[in-house]
Amino acid sequence: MKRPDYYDYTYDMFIASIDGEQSEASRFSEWIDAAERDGVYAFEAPRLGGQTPMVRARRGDGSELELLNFSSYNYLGYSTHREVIEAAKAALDRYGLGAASSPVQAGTSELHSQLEQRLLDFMGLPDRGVSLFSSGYAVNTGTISAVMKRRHHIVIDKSAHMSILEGAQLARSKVHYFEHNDVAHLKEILQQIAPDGTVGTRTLVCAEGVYSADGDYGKLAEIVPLAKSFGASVLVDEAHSFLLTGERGRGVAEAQGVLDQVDYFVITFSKALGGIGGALIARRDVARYVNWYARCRMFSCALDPAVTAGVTRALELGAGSDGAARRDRLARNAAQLRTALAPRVDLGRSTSWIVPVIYGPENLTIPLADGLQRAGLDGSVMSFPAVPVNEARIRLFVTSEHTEAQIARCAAIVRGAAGELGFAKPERQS
Amino acid sequence: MSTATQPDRFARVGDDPLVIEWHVQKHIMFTWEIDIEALDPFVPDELTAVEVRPGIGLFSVATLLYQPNQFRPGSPPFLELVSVAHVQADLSVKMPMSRFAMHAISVYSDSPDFIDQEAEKLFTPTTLDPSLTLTFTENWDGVDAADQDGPIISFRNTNPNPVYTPDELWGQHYNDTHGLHFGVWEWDGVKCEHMQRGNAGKFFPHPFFKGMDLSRLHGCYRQMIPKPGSTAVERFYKTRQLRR
Repeated sequence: MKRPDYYDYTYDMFIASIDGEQSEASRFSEWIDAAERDGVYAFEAPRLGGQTPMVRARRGDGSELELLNFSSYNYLGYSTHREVIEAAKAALDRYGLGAASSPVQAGTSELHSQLEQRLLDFMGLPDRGVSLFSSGYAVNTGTISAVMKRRHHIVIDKSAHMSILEGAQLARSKVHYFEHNDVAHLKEILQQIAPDGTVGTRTLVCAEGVYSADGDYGKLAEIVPLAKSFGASVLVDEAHSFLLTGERGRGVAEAQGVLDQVDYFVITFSKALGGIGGALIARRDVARYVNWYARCRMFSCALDPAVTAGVTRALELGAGSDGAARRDRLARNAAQLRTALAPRVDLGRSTSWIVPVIYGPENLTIPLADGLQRAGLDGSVMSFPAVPVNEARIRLFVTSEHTEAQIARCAAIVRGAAGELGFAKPERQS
Repeated sequence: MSTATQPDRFARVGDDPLVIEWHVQKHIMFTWEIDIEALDPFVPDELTAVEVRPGIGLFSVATLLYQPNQFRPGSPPFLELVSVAHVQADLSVKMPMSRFAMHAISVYSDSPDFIDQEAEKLFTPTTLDPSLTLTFTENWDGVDAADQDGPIISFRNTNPNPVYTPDELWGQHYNDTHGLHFGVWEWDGVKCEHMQRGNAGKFFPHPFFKGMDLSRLHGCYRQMIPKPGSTAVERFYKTRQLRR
């Protein structure tokens, strides 16, 4: 049977249209409608409960599926932890639903101050300051656009998150991109900016702790000192690594020994902490400045009380023995999944709890996402342009809460799909 | 060249009839990242350059060796070298979903017949360059272009294990020589398309680039190479004038 034309469509095709009728919107809707009509649309299926290792979700046709959940980044399980929920409930009772004001006006509560202090204590950086944001995305867009301006230079790893790119765009600085984790290429760019060895114009180098499409670690031990040697500042986004690695869970910068050299340490509350929002940890005067000059912070409502209290409790748990135990389980679980999959499928560069399974052609994305869900697995699929063409992938997020049996079942479903759809590696002859 | 000899589904797209069908022997297209500020001067005001990352547009150079006998029995094979800016498509056009929309910047060919056809049917600004040479590598995965003014490009595939798949691509093309023109194209053949990093080649200063600042080019974004021994077909549909 001929496959539908819309299997070949990719996101980039609908980004814009030059006509005046917003045809990109109507064509994009036609794409989704066609997949829904054919019963193969697996995206946006509403969850019927919290982000636990097993979830129920409702498909577009109304059917409910019991799914292994490898598509949520509730890495340590704190999103559904009883004590975290209790803390959030108590804050809800006392402070109400929303903060109801900008953080620089009346939106800051004692809860926010407590969270800031807990973050500094945990990071072991008492001379720094914290700027809280109501989304992790906004930490990057707000911070970068606040501290960088026209004619400044921003040098970004090509695999960096969209929020960093958008922050650079808002700053209207001169943007440079270095090949992913390519320290020699970064050096080449810094030498172009600073031919005599020291940048004369403000320059910011942006990298990440763990990259979300590939699950590999940033080479911070090399990137950070290199940038500093040129007099550049460094922003490290630890969205997918904060509380997950490092001797005390402070992230990849701690693990690689450069934590105290990072100028802008960016974390999110939506991953390991199981909530929403994020924070910048920076020099105290810089954090205060960002509080006032990050437009998306200044002109939005403060982080809501229930989430703030829940995140604070999650951080307290994560900073102690509970967190250490969960980190150990997370590392063990991730290794189990990688070991189970590596002989049969391409895991790319992954060495972390983000395990991408590269299936290749974009035109497998719709049937694969549908097939996995119907087989009982929810994984997060990514294709061009989020990743290179013909390198589309299922992104599996391992958590500390998955059991050995759940991981084995996940691997079996993926291996089965790989055999069925033709992206399995040849079996080794014994 | 032949017209409308293919199955019905290629005879027309929307209201536009097929006007040209080219048979291609070898072809390579590499797409490069370029500072959008360096690309914008080559893009008409009515169009918008694709921006794949903030500040970064796409510039492609394609090389084509066409099969013989396309204009008349015994007419020789001929060459085309084309550079384009990637622009946003017009999605209101009734056609299969457009994969790429491209605005022609510079087109060279060694064939007077080709020049005539392009001018008559597509209004493409093609320059006759009898000294144009395209030297494809043995595996058809690299090409050097040169002419009497010197080398123009040297491209090399960076994928050590290319996987070739049959494909049918639809797209849109624009040119702005005698007013702004728009048309639909279709390509089918067997190719490897990839974005693997590596040293994909270089550009040489040459009049072909019409003064574009080549120092604003960055790495290679995407490569398309044909399966060795395969052939491809390119189809062009009746163009429309958008501006005089």
